[in-house]
Amino acid sequence: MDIANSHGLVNVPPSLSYFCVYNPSFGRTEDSQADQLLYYTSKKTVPMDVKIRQVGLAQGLVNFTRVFSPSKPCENVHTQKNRLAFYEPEPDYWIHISIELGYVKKVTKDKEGKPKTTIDYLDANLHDSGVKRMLELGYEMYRIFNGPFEYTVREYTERAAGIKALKNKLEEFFANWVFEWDFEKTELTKTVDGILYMPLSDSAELQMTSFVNQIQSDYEYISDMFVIWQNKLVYRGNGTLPVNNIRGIWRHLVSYIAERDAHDREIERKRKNKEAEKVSSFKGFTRSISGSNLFSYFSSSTTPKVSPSTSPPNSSTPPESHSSSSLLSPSTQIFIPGPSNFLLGPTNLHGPDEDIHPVIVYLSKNSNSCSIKKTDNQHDEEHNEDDSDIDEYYLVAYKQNALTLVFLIPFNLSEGSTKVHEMVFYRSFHNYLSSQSEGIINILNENYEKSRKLGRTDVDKEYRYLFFNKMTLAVKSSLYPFSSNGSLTSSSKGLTITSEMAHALCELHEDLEKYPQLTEIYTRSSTHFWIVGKRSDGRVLYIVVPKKEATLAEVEDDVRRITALYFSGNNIY
Amino acid sequence: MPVIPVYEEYSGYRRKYGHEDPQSANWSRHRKHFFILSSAGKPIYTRYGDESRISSYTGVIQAIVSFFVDAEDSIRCINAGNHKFVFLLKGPLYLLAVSRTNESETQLREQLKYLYNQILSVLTSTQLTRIFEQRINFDLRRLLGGTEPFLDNLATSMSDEPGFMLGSIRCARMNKELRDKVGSILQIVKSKDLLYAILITNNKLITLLRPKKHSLHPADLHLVFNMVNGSSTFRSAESWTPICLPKFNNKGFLHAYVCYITANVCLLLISPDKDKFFELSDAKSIIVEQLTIGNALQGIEEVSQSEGYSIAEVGVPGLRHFIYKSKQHVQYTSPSFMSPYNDPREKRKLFKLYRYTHDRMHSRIRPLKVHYYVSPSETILGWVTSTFELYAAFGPLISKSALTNSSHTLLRWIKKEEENLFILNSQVF
Repeated sequence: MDIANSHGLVNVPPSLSYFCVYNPSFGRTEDSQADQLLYYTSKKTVPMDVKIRQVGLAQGLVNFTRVFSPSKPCENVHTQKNRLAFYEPEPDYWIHISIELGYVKKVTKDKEGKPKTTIDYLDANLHDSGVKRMLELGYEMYRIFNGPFEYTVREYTERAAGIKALKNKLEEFFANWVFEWDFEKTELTKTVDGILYMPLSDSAELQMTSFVNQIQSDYEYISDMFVIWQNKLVYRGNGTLPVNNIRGIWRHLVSYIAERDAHDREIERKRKNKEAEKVSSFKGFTRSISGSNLFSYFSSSTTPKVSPSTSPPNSSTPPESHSSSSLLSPSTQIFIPGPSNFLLGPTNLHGPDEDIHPVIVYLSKNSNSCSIKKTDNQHDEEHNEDDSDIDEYYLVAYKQNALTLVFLIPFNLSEGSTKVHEMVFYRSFHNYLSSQSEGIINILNENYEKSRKLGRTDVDKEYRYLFFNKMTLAVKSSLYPFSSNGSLTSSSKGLTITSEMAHALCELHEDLEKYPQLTEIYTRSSTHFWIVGKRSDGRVLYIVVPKKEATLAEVEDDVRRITALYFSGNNIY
Repeated sequence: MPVIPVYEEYSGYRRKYGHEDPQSANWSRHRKHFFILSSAGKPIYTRYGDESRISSYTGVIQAIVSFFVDAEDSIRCINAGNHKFVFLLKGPLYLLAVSRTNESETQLREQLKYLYNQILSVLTSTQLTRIFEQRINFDLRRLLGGTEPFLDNLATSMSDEPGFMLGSIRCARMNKELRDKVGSILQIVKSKDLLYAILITNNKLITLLRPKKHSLHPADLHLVFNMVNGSSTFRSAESWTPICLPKFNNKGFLHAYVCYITANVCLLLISPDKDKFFELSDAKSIIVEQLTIGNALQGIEEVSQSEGYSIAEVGVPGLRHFIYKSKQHVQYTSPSFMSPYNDPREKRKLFKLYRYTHDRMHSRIRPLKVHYYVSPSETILGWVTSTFELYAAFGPLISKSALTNSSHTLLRWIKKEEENLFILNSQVF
């Protein structure tokens, strides 16, 4: 969308040119080159020979750069008008994207008074770290729900069938994902891509542990579980899973939670309206609800809705419409007031077993190799993985009030695999959980109220911060404060992060990544705001201090105060 | 028939890595490669190895560049792990730097521009264009003949000397009175045959005489330094050589009379006229005579043998090293390297940090005024105002207030010494 202002200035944001997934080993001869292409999409339609040329260029760049940098070939290419990025998540499988840079078009007068058009391409406003993170995230989410690429190909005895299956999966996942990507948004929170945690007091921690242990001993085939309060992770499992898998599942659940919350609010609103009128008929009531988009979302389809570009988790995203499935089970006349508490699981607990389509996830085995290393090392460790490093699980999620419980049931254990296909299991599980959870819900609510008192002041602050722990992927940010119902608070209170600050934060982040030996960086921009990046023990803190006249030492004092206020005592993540 | 200069005396030049096999791991592992090729993909220059053997690489490079040119775009930089591949496309010449030195894209492209200007310095842009217009596949290697030593020397200097990054030159620190005396002696020989008179030592400027209307661009001066350093034959005899100064006029040649007047001090007299060797040789004799009479020759020889001032002389607590650029005078000053930076590896690490600071502070869209950071081995401060740029290295444990105080102390010292550190007013005619 072009935005022209009265001075004849046109601002064009960056946009996708093309995106593809390919494997050069699938088509090594000149005739079979087209076989290399596993998925391709672009802004404009493009003939096959152009696609092949683009893949050829990509491979040429990789091969040439490999001469000098064999272990880390071509990662991105900057041209005058475009940005290309490359990611090899599994040996020989490449994800490749080309993005048209945003630009500013000006019409001015040259020396002779003739109109002259100048175009300024905004290369520095598209950060390589952000693009890279999006490609990694896309693969991560794809893999959790579809398994590694090679896995899919090998699942079939006939290779051609395997490749076809892979192509279908890629199409299904990436077609939506790519076009949801907003290249213009430069938020450090997206590049850092952390998990929101709510820290627990010591006593709450103990209660949590016994709660979890009780469930897992009562249900032995549940191998691991997470606990989410509102949208924040409070319990991240027993430590066998790599943190990036936890992040992927958490991120996925958060979008479901947001929609369920929105749906519940809608129901509540309608209920309040209806209280004033007489309910005309049972059917009229249900018709008015089932007609809405919101309801149709809760189908039992296993297609996960993955939208990695979701804005900060608090905001609600409008649900996509899947194939609708009525809550009025055809076999009974019983009206069930609302979907079941299972976010991932059957929506109607009284339907037939055939209606159940449990979600399967593919998770990496070894926790140690992922949890400490940062995502750019994941590339190396990814290459060592073969099929035996992936475990499959059924994923079940249960929500009651603000509490969401996420369960992992191993695919290959017979008892668990049988249960997840039986409606009877979900009914009894629901009864068990709804009573079992009451205690922990109160405890978490208390905990939440206490921590909210501290956080409430974030909005008014004259500075903004982002804290990130590389090992747990915990992130805490006041960069873009939202109130609890998801709306942006009035920007007259506290500091608004300008786009210049946002870009500067990303650049500082890239510097800390590039120079791991630096412990702190202070920068003062030409528009006189300070940005500080501090690192210790795998934890990083970024703070924006908009004080024109402050000296280096004065800014340091501010940093110390903020650290003491927010990141000490019970607030250590 | 235009005169095409050939540096005959360099047939004996032996390159350290001249025989390296471009297919070998050793070759690919060099920290910074420079490649120059024609737009048709023919190799012209490679910093390491023999350029006759890299045509497979230059073919690929040309194909990559063409892909984007065909799409009305132009490739600028490839990032791969620790390597940057930076492209500069100048008409019939493509230049590529392949570097794992952590220099930024902008810095590497500046270096490619210097290499390109070095070629212009030998050929002029008119000739360059004409050559390629007439014969697209012309083997520029033949024409550039002995320029290899100059390209090689430039490649090395650009890594060692901050002046390229700063776009400014360094003056020898000397007594203002002595410098003024030397300058006034140069004034004696001004004539219509003389465009510039330059006195240099060890990559530093002693003084310079120029026409009022034509200042000498630092980039041109760097090429002059490079020419003088790139060949040892200037030391043994008077020389007369054509030279193009691209910033002055990239289309035509000037001629330089070059002569060492003491062991380490070199005099250059530059003329627009190619037939003035003898007149300029006479001018040199007059200069030497007057310098001797005025007791100045001894003085400048002493200056030439000094290693510069030490950080101890500056007397600022906690400060280990600095580079200060005066924006107004387009000159910089820097003390000699004391421990730990007298170790070449530590020095290289320090330069890497300075370059990172410089790059961040000069970002086109988001330049910085202050850039401060701490590592386990040092603290670096970058500070840019409208009048100066300062890059300073301190120990890792220095407090921020102490650092700020020290910086101010340094600025006061520089102000006090500025007459001796910089040429504040050039000699003009």
